[in-house]
Amino acid sequence: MRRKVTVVGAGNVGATCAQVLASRDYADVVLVDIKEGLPQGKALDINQMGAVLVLPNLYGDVLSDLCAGMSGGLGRAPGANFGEQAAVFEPTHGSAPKYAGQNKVNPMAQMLSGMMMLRHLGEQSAA
Amino acid sequence: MAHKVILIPGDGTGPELTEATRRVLEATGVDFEWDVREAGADVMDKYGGNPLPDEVLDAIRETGVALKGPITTPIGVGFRSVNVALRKSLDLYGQVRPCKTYPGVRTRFAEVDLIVVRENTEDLYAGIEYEQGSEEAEELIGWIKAHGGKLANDDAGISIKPISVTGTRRIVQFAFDYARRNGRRKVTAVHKANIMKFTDGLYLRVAQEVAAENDDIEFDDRIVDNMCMQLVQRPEEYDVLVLPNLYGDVLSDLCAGMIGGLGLAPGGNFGEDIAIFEPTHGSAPKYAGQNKVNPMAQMLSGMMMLRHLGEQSAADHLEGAIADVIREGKSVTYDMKPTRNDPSAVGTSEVGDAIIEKLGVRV
Repeated sequence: MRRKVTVVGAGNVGATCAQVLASRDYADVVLVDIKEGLPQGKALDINQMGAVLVLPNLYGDVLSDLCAGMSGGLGRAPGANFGEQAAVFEPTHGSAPKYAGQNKVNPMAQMLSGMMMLRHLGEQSAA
Repeated sequence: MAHKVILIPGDGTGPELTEATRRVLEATGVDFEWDVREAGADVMDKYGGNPLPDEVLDAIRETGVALKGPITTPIGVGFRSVNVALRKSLDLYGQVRPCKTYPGVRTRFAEVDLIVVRENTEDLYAGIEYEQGSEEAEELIGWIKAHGGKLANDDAGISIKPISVTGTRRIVQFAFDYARRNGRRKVTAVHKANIMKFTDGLYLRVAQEVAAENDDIEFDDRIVDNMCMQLVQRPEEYDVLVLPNLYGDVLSDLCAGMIGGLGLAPGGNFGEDIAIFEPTHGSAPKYAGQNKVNPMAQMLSGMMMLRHLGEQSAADHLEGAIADVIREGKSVTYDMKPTRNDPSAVGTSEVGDAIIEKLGVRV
């Protein structure tokens, strides 16, 4: 029978513990917390973590557009740039000047970048 | 007149694949005079430990056309890759990988019909590399700094990316010629000229020059990352792609994946007066002698060879027969069945039999 592990507390320690358990596929993981929404949000993150690819500059450029293409195009592809002391969140696409002021283009990539920023700020449940 | 062709069975599953392919090629009615030459790990002991005997190279130079099975590079110090050695010794500068979806193949991309033309001698794969910490790397880093270059970090290994006017002109002209010979409508040059101005920028500029000299065929260009996105979103809008070595390597495997994997991906390597046809996949030594693996990439490579030899109608018949067998889904190997342990999967030689039967109806 498949084992189940319940992690009590979905803060950074609990969520990290749950993530390690899930990523190594030791058992099914249940995450609980007294704070509403937090374990659900974290669990969703863990469930969606899939594979993380880490690539040198050129390959990263090529494969990030490839993956964006497979998941619906640049209109839905958010992004972030991280340094030691700063994080800048922005969509992958350009600014499409020809559509400026027309209330026309897809804001999802920009919004998903905002969602990434919420997570960066520790606002998991809002994200 | 019989076509003289060098047949290199290769190692691992290569002999089974090339034997099945030889049978289907002969069943098209075209006459061949096969000159069978051994190369690879399974025969190297006979030739003083050399997996690529000189006499094989001489025979290919003389005949100009070879059908080659897969060859695995023996693991160990001092062995050069047979495939790389072939390319270098014979200056096979153009690699062609047609990627076409045949109905019946399980893939997310139904309408792919692309030809990937890859430059095979230059770029970051030229083999000019300096190991991190070596005297040469330090000297080079010093030189770069003295000439206005900036490195994010000094503790770097360095690979050099040469892209020449000569090499670019040669491959782009080859792509146009190949497009023309094979009735294709458009050539797309793929690059990163917006970032690498003196290498990919040169590539794009020369490609545009060559395109102007070949204005009977449509030409456009794409930045490599955008090209990848376009390929997975609108592959039907593209036809022949011509790429520098590294992008060509990456995108040819991407396109092979889109059409159902390496089991269906044929290839050709071209030099000035030489063409070698071989599948994209390896020799799968663990399945050697088991009459198990998919011969279709090898057979489609044979189909490319027929076209190269000017046997267009035989090539059409063979391609049609292979497509029929794929569409019926009956006489196919395990990798093309819905599950890998499907008991109705047939072996390598039975795929050949089924294709020969179809050819009997078509020829």
